[in-house]
Amino acid sequence: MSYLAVALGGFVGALLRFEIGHFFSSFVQQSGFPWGTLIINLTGCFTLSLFLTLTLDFVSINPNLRLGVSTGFLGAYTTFSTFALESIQLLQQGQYWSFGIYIFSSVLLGIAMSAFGLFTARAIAEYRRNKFGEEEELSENATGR
Amino acid sequence: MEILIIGIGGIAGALSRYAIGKYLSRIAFLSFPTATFLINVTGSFFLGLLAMNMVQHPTGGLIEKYGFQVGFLGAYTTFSTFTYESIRLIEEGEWMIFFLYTAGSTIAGLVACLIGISLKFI
Repeated sequence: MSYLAVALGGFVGALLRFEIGHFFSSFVQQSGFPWGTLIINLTGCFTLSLFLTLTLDFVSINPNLRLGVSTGFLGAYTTFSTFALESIQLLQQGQYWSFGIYIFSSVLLGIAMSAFGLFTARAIAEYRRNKFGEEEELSENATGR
Repeated sequence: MEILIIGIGGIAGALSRYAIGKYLSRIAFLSFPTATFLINVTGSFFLGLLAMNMVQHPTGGLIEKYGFQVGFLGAYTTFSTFTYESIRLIEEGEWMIFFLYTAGSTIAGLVACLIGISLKFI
């Protein structure tokens, strides 16, 4: 069952990556910078971190659903091999600035987006706790009266 | 048609990554994310190899481009798990392993891809 979840997620993730890459392809050809992969990886980093932190630490969901979304969908949506190949291609074309900017923005912003996802998940959990806490207090007050 | 080929490649790539990760989690040492590291480095190597092959034989076909490059290797390697494991290492205070993992994955991945490109044997 866990393999089915990963397979299903992998199917959708790979296709979404292709479609988004396709959407940005004319933009990439004009600028000579791999915007498509960068946007895919950064959005995927944020989403995975948000999703895993929420479902591992705060909300319990079906483990196969978690696996399908994280390892399957978001794992297949983001990619490391294309990032490596595009970096080398920028180097081979002599575009050293783009090469440096691409690597640093992918790795450093990717880590920053993951941290942002983690903090966002904790903020959501905190907000929900406060909200439910207040509701409990309200209902206690109501019954008290 | 290309949609189906990419999707099938994506299934195979994600399943391979899951299976390798599951297997390596039993023999992993320290808190270094060995599985993701090896997956990303080997995937980058094979993408370099295939990309070079495409340059030499531009009529390489749908299966090679969409099935293997975009589908399989794209889904086999992962960026989101790489950065998620990185911030978890920071949270655990494993700064040394964090630097080793992030710099090591980036450098080894790029070098592996370059080696793949320079092997023109296919």
